[in-house]
Amino acid sequence: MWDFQVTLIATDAKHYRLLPFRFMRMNTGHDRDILLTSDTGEYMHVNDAQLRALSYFDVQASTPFYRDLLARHFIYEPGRHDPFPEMAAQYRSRKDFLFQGPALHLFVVTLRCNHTCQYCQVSRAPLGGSGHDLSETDAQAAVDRLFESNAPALTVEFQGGEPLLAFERVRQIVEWVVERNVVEQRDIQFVITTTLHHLTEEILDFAEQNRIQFSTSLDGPAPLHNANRPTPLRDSYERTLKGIQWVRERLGHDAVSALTTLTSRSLEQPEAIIDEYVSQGFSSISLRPLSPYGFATKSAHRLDYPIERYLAFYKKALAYLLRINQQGVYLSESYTSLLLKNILTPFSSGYVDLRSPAGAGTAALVYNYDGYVYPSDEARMLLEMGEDGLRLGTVQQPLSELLASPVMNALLASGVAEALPGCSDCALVPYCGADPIEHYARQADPIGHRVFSSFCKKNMGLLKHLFGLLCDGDDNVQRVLLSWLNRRSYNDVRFPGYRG
Amino acid sequence: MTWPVTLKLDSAAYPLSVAQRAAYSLADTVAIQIGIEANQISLTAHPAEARLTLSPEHARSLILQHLNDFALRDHINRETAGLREILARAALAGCGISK
Repeated sequence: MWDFQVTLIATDAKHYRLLPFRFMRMNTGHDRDILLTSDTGEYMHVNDAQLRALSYFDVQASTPFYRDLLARHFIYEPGRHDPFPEMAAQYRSRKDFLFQGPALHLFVVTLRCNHTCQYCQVSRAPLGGSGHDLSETDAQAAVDRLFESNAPALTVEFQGGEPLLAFERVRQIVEWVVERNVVEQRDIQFVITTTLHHLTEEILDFAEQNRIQFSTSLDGPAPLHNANRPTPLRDSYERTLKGIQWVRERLGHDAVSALTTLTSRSLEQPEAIIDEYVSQGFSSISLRPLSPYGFATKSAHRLDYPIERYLAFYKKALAYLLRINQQGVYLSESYTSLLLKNILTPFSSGYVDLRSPAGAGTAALVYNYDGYVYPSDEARMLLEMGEDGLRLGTVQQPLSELLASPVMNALLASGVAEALPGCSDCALVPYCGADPIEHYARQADPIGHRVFSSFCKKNMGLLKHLFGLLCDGDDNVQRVLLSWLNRRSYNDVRFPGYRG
Repeated sequence: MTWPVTLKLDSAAYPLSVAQRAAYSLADTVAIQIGIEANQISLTAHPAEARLTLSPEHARSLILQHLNDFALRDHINRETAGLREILARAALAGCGISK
């Protein structure tokens, strides 16, 4: 009798099977403190008893919890319900970047620059320095590499140094690309990353003709920007604002976007930085922490900060952004928007740092001024620190050869987050990336130890904070987050959703 | 209770891989030495930094919680063995990743 009863219970307990999922304690102090995530990015908040019941086949079939688990692919009913075709489609959408070659192609046309920024991430050569410009032969070869990628949409980004100091090379490359594209028929976007200090009417005419976008740096109000970005006349802020105005007058308001670099002194003034972006009419701000590359490392003792300080800054800045957005300003934080896309939609944000397998080389290529090719901007920044081991090869080698290089093999071997120590058990891995180059730069190991990783601490801190807001934030906060996700105004988002 | 904190585990309840994962995940808080004796796994935990203010009692409960969580993950992984690979293979067919 006793054995019979046990058999019955065991049979009944297996009325469903588990699908792969991960869990994490969020340490919020709430009842449903545990986050469950599936490989396809579905998520739920549960309590300890629910997690135990789920894992040991003790969830009753008639309950709403059971139906939620079924609908979100945490469980399935063998013989009654085959979830795999739908899950495979979701997984494919989330990893769709794997089906195309590199789409972001960065041309470092010169290392020369008029600034002497202490934290400079790309390193620079003096304004009149020689031997720091991309040659015509190498530029032509880089355009060949660009079109060897099968990506239907290509972004051609010019970087430096200050790329406008080598505008004739920029012009040549744009003309070659446009000419080739008559046959290739790709969707091509040109971007120049510049201080805007060297703009001319001629450059703006050319930009207008070729629909070139500008990306500049604005670190906050004048004292902060000028302290971060020294020029001989201490007029970096004024010249950048003049450039922004000029681009907008000639090419339209949205033809220029801006990025911030956050030094230690920036962290003390989140509201002032955000107010500056509001007053300059931007719709997006990027609150990115300082990277451990280029000259930044040499100045780290003065400019760098622990990632915990950045996270405290981010939370304060985000709270302020959420407040002003509810008052009618539209200003989104760009990294938050990318993370929201990863959490709330079945699609990948496509952002290189948030890809697994890693986006270095597979998503982006950098053609350096010296004719060498790197898998990311960060990899070429390491070069300026004396580290040349992350070269894929020279620009004269075909793309297939560059992407089969030993460096790419090493990056991919350490670039699948789902298979890395620490990440493989992390419930946030469907929304995160691997970034082996950052780990190589900081820990001298492309895998690194996640517990000590700034990349991990940053993304975990931000994702946990966003999950907290999505779960507990009031309707107005959720409306702002959804407005960023959908790029619509706050007033156009009527119903908060995605409560998980 | 004083440092170091020691725990003796039945390896049937807490396999070695579970103990190793727990030790990895707590590396910034406690440095754990893992030993194997017959059917027992012994954990000896020291504060990861001298300035750590964690009490030995708190460290013990933290280690136990992580051990239990990783044992549960181990159970879930066994119940779902092979499904991740099936899913990835079906989803990524055609992208050049064969395994």
